[in-house]
Amino acid sequence: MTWRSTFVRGAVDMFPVMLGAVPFGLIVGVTCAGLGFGAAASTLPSMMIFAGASQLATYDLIAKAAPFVVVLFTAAFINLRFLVYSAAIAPVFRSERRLVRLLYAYLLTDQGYAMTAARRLKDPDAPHGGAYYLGGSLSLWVMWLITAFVGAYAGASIPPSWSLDFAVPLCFTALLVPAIADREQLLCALATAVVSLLALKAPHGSGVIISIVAGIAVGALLARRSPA
Amino acid sequence: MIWLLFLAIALVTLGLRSVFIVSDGGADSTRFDTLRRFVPVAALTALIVPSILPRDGEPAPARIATIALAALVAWRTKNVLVTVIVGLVVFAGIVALSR
Repeated sequence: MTWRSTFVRGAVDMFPVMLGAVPFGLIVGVTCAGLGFGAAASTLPSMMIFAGASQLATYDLIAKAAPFVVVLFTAAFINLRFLVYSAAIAPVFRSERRLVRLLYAYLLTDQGYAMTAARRLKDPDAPHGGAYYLGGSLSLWVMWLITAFVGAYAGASIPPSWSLDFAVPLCFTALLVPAIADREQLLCALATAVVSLLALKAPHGSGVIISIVAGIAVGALLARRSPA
Repeated sequence: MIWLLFLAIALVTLGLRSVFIVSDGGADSTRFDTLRRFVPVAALTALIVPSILPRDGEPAPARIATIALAALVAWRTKNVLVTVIVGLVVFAGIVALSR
C-alpha cells in the first residue's frame, strides 16, 4: 500500500459514513440560516468549528438568547470528547510534522476517529495511518461545507415532513451504540439519559452540560468501585 | 458579538482537538482511561435524549421508538448510513400513518 492508495482507501471507507451525515450537515446549514445569515455566512461557522453537535447546540442557544458564557461552555463540554479522541489517536500521527498534525487535529471528528480506531484494531501495524485518516476526514470536511451551504440556501424548501432534523439524533445513535463496549459504559449512558430528562428545564439551556458532567461522574464512580 | 462567539468556540474546539495530537504527550494513565471510556458515551447520550421528546402533531412515542429501533439497527449493522436511513423512513412512516 502506497501513501496515495491508503489515502483513497480512507476516503472509500468513509463514504457510507459520510452519506449518513449528509442530513446532519444540511440541518446545520438550515439552522444557521434560521438565525438570519445568508448561505455563504452560514457555511463559515461550519468551517471554523467543524463540529456539528456543538454547532447545533450553539445555534439553538443563540436563538434562545442564552448568555455568551453558557453557549461557550456548552459547546466546550459537547466537544470535550475530542480531547479524548485526540489522546487516543495521537500515536498514529507521531511521525508527522507539527503543522501537519495541527491540520489533522482540526479535522478530528467522531467519524474520523472511529474509522481510524477500527483500522488499528484490525491491524495495529497498518502503514500510512495519517494518509488513511486524511483521506476519510477530508472527504467528510468537503461534504460538511457543501451541505452547510446547500442547507442554508435551500432551507425553507426542504419539506418538513422529511423530519430532517431527526437525522441528527439518529446519527449520534449510530455512533453511540458501537462505542458502548461494557456494562459500566451502558450504566453511564443510562445515568446520563436520566439526568438529561431531569435537566430538560434547566436554566439557560445548561441541561447538556449538567448531564454530561453527571454521566462522566457516574462512570468514574463505577470504574473506581470495580477496577477493570 | 455572535462572530466573536463562533470564533471563541472554534478556538476552544481546536484546542481540545490539538492538545495531544500536536504535543508529543501520551495519555495512558488510568485516570485518562476513565475519560476515554465515559466522555464520548456521556456526550453522545446527552445530545440524543432531548430530541426524543414529541413535537406537536406527532404520536408521543414516535421519536423514542424510532431511536430504540435505530439503536438495534446500529448494533446489528454498525453502519451509520443504514441506521440513519432506516430511522428517517420509519419515523416519517409512523407520523404519516398516524395522521
